[in-house]
Amino acid sequence: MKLEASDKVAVPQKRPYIKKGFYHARLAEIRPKKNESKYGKKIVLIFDILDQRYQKNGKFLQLATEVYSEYKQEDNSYRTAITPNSNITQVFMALGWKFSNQGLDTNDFIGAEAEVLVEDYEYDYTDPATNKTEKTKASTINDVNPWEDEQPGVVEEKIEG
Amino acid sequence: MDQQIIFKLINLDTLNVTKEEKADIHGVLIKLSYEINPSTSDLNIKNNIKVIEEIEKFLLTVQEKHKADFKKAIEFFRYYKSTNILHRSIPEDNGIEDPFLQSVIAKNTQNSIIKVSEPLNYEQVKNLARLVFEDTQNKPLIFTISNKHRIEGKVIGEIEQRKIKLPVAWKAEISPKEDSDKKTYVAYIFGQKIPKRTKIIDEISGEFYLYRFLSKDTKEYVLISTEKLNLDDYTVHGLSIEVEDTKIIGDAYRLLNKFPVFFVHTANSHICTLTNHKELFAKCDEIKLTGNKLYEYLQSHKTAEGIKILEHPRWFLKFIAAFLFHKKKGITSAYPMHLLWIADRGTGKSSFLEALHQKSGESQEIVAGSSSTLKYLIPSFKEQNRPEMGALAKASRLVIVDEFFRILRLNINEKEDECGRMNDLLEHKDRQAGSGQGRIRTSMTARLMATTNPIAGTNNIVSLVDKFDDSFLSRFLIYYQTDDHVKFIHQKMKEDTLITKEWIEVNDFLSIQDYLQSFDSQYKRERLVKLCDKFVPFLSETVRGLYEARYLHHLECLLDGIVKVRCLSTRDSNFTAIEEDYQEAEFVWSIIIKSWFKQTIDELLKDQKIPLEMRSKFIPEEGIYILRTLANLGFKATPTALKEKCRLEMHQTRLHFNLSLLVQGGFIIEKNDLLYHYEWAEVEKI
Repeated sequence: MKLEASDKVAVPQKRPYIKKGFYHARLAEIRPKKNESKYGKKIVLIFDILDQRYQKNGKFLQLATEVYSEYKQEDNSYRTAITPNSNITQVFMALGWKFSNQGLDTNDFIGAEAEVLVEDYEYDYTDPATNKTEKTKASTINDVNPWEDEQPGVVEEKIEG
Repeated sequence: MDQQIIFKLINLDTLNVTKEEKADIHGVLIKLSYEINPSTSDLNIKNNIKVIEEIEKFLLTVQEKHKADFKKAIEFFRYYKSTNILHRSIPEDNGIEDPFLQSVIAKNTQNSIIKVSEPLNYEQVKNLARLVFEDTQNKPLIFTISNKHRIEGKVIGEIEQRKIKLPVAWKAEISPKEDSDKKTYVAYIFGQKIPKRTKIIDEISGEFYLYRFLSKDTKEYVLISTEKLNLDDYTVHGLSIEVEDTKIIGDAYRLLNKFPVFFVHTANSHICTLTNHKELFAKCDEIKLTGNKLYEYLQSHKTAEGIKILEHPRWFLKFIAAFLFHKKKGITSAYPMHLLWIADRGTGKSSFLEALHQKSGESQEIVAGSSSTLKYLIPSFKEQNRPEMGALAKASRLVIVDEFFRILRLNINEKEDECGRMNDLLEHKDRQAGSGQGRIRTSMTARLMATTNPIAGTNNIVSLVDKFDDSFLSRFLIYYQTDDHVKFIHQKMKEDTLITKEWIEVNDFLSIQDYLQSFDSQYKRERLVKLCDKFVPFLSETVRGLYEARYLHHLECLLDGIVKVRCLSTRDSNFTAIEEDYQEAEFVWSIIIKSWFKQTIDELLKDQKIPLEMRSKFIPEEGIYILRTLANLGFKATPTALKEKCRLEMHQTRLHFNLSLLVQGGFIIEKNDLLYHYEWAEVEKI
């Protein structure tokens, strides 16, 4: 069987990094996390950061956040994480959901807007050109709050030092 | 009104004052009345009223000081202020620009009907015809269809099925009585009154299609078009001419009135303003549409106090969205799934209909079944009048009927005759209807949402099929509101009404709806056939006929709508059914079919002839809860342990009833003082 060959190789990409602060964002996609986490199953919420400064080729920069959707129980079965005080409930309530025992269809919130708190974290990045590994900053979403149209666009935190 | 009128009314000569004082008064009056304008506009009249109030105040002081009498003027002011103008007839400009006139003369040496892009009004069209006629040697007749007016609405019917010849301009010979040799020739155009003593010596006719058109502001027009139009929604540009008509208002009295006739310059169908998926999603982003927002919108009702949400279960809202978004389907003629929602009073039907009506863009109100007859829905032919189209054909997208069964006036002997009259319309077929009084070609473009109370023994599907012709019923997807749905509504009625600020402009919603209705989503039909067949064993012979006639069609429409709702929410441009959509369709379908057996569901669950897997779809919510609890307890438990766990969620009587139902149906197996879940029992071969 003849297989096609390609000289293209996967290039490690630098993870997106923007200034810490509150941003106007829109939920673009929801995916289940492939690997199970410590306490159960998680879903990944990918947000478009609606800030034109970070727009490239007409596309908004995307940042993600993870929340537990199902908790693992002692007998290895799962129970829903959607309870009145859980993190996933808070996130979807910020996106416009009203808690009810009818269940939650996450698809219904794609396109919903929110105010997200973007924070930094450090990770090891290996430059493919020099093969050097260094500590680099990347951004992640730490909190999701309701968006109100009247609020100011971006409130950036001042970085000291 | 001008300054002179004021001075005509105020006679200063009779004033017993010195010359200087008189001059002063005169001066003040001149100053005050200087700002009086001709009463040609509302603004001028408003301004004049302010001025005359000032003058009146001044005159009253003079009157008191000098014992004068300005009664005439003051009365005049009072009348001027108290009279309201309801309608003002403003003469239209009839001027024609010379280059335009010359170009028409140069191009049209023969009798012609012409179409021009200029916004000429009727006066200008008349004048143009006269000038061309008078200024040229061979005196051609010209009738111009200009681009002056714009109307939006629906072509509701054809007056004639083919093009008809319609005279639009005439050459008339006028000869005075005293001198019959002195003849003059005059051009008259459509809508002008031709004097009695004239002799028509030439005329020009065009071939036109004639339609009846209902504008969004509910004004009816006769549409005259050279192009064939569909019975659809249009924005029409052209020339509106009012012709004289009469209305019969007594046994012998006719009231003269004006009827608008509209010559079509251009007609644009606005069934769809979005042309591709990209534009659709751009529109969704623009209005920040999410699935959640869509459902809230469907159940919200705009009032003067704000936008209120009248909550319904999520599955029901998805079902309604699917009903609105699906594309009509059919082999020979495509038709949509119509809905018939049957429920007792106080279950949220009418309020939901009102909420839905606000998003329909229909000028026609909700049809009140309790005070209407069938003739109001379908074409009818009244004596000495134009044929009536009927509410079904008049609506563009959605026709809503409340208390539907009351329209049908249940009469078992006439059931087929009565209901069958709607069948062709409900299938969106182009048909000609007629009687001795006239005929009309008409077609329905809207989908019907009907609600009704289960009157006269129609509270289950068997008695319903017994009462009505099943070919008529099969055109509807029938939903008997479930107990869970009713409970949900009653619960929400007790809670505080939710108020929202979220709203979608009706035009935006309709453009999304129109676009989604314009294409088919992709799905595996064989999977739907299987799903449809799954429910056949539950149906008795009488109901099976109804189900097998058109319910596969309805299921296809439902799935098409469900795929579109998901793709719209998730911005999925594939519009292809995924596993989730089939499951969602099955879920909604089972609720609807389950609702048919409200009264007989217990019998059905116990019927061992039907496979257990199929019967499991009919287990009530409380039964499902018991089974789930048993599964959580390890698929087997002692009766006490199971009851102990379930008691927190339901009353003891309900618990016993449901438990016994599950045991009798074979969903729970009793053995050795233990209760086994049927799925576990199957595996362990108990």
